[in-house]
Amino acid sequence: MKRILAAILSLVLLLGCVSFASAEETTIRMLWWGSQTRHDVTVAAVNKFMEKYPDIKVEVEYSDWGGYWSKLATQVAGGTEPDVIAMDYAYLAQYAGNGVLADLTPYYESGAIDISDAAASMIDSGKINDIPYAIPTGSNAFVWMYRPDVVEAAGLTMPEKMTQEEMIEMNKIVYEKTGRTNHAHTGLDNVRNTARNFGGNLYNDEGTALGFTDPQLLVRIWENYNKGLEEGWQLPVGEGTAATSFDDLVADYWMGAHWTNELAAYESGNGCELKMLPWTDWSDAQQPATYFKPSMFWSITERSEKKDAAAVLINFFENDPDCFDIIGLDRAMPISSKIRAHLAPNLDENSQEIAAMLDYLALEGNSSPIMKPDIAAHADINTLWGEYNEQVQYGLVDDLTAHAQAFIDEANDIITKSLSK
Amino acid sequence: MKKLSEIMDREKVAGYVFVMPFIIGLFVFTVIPFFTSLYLAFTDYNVLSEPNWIGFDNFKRMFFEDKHFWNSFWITFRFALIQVPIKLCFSLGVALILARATKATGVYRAAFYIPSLMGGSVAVALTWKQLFAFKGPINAVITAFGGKAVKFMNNPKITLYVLIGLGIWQFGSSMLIFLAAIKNVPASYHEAAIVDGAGPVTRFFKIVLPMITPIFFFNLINQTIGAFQAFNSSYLITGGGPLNSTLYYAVHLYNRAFTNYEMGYGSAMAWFMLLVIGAFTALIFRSSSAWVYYESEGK
Repeated sequence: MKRILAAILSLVLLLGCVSFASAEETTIRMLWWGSQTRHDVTVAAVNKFMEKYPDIKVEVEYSDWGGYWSKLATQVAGGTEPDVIAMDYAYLAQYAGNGVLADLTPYYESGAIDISDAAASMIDSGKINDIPYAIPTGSNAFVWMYRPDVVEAAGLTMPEKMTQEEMIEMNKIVYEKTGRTNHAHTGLDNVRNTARNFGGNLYNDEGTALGFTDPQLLVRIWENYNKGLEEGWQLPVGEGTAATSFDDLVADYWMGAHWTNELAAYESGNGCELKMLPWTDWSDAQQPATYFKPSMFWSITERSEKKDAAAVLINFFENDPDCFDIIGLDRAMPISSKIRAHLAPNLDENSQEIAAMLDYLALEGNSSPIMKPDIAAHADINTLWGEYNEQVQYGLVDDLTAHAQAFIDEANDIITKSLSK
Repeated sequence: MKKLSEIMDREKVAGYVFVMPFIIGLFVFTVIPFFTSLYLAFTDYNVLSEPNWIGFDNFKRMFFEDKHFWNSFWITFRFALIQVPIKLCFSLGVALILARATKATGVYRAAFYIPSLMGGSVAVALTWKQLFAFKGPINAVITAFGGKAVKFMNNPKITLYVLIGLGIWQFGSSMLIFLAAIKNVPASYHEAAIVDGAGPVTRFFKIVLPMITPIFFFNLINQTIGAFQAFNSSYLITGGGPLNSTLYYAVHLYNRAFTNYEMGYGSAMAWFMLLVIGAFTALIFRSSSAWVYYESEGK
């Protein structure tokens, strides 16, 4: 008798692990990446959603950017991917191409996801081969964030915008006046923007090669770096004190290039006030490098069995004023014009700055059209650039032109190989 | 039909039920993934879609095309070659000191073991990173004595040794095993040797060392395997840099498999490492007959 009782009890215990979802309730899972600020507001918004839609229960999972893509891939491999996932421009082609994402057309057509207030160009940015696999959460621009107190201490005023050359000059003056070091941006984002300045792009439109052929574009980026080392304002590699990329404006730098929606996260990470400056184009640029990028996307996974509920959730995160009262501009400037109008009067100071910056960049002559989503080999190209760039930073390269040409050749080689697979 | 209680009462059944959790775990987490990865090594599996059979392409790419493959292999090899002997000698030395019973040894044993308890933890790696940071405590001491601050984390010639230092510092587990072995050497041997006039050095080389060779052998294999699989310190502290000078094999594998979604290639790399570790272990086993002494064999 005792044994049977024990068996029953353990059975009950086992069943206890399986959650009791009531018959009418649909449970969907949602996954996103971000900083702590974003996790807090998104969880609050999800709670609001469940209040409004009591028949849908949302289980949330989140991760930082670095862990996100291995976590998501692992879930896809195991067939346990959530119903709603955050997607990025750099991965969209890869995930859509492998059949992970669901076609959103039926939900656009039925109005389950309302796109009537969004610009067509925004909706189009989530399309691969004309099929919408993802809907942008908002639009963003890549700008400089700087410490106004440092600029002031150097006795300078920050202009509305300036050229790359003027910025280099300013770095020198700030260093002489205050001793503050900074950095010449040598990341792949600067490569992309420099190429865009001269009519190219990081990749060509067909995605078959790099979008530029002139090694001098890379040489000028590295020359600025070396100039900074000579003049003293470039912090040499390995002398930084920052523990993460969220606090490097405390002691190491006074400027950083980030996406507009990240302003609050970097301010709280660094614990100081930050202001924004448009991306610095080269003085001889043919066109502005700045583009409006879908900051991130929401997608429904193809294998989800609760796509309808997932669409309701996405619609909430795209079109519901209640949602945006909580999350504000955390996922960038919303694509719905109604939501933008709803938010306008109540924006906090940060968000007003972001809105003003995006309005400024939207003016004729301040931005140019966005490129195609990054190619599948982008991760490899990113790593490769890191290696070539590191060699320059360690002072191992004498002939910058040859070094730049070697990078271009090797990158094109990698892209060709990745296409033949 | 028999009652449940009758079935459960049979001794054999009870035994199986008790080992079942382990068996299930073994199959689900070890045996099945083991053979799956062997299959995946011959495919182009990219995690997101179904794998396709591509024969030996992954291995061809590994040996002839991937410029980081041999680089990371030799770094790992060098790491193991330097770290393992130093760590073994160091832990043996500490074990010898702690083998003497005084009041404080208990505390010391625990204290020395703590770094190993935290061995895999992120916290220790990050502490190490901060210790050797450009403006960290180690450089503070160096500059206080008039030296020039060293870029421990950003000098391709030095950084690997900083990581080796971390590995050696985590000597606790091998130290503990040595300690147990030293304690196991019968006191009568020592007494007899002392009567014959042998000093502590002679006793160590003539009695203790030969007696603990089986344990030395065990630690050597364990540490060699561990060194070849080293991952944490590089991944967390240096990310493989600077200039790929600390790109361990396991980190390169992880980058390929999880960052670039080349799981098939990653599996192939893992199997190559398995063969290398297998070869080294076999080599150590082969050599053991020349230097490992088993009392029971009565040689």
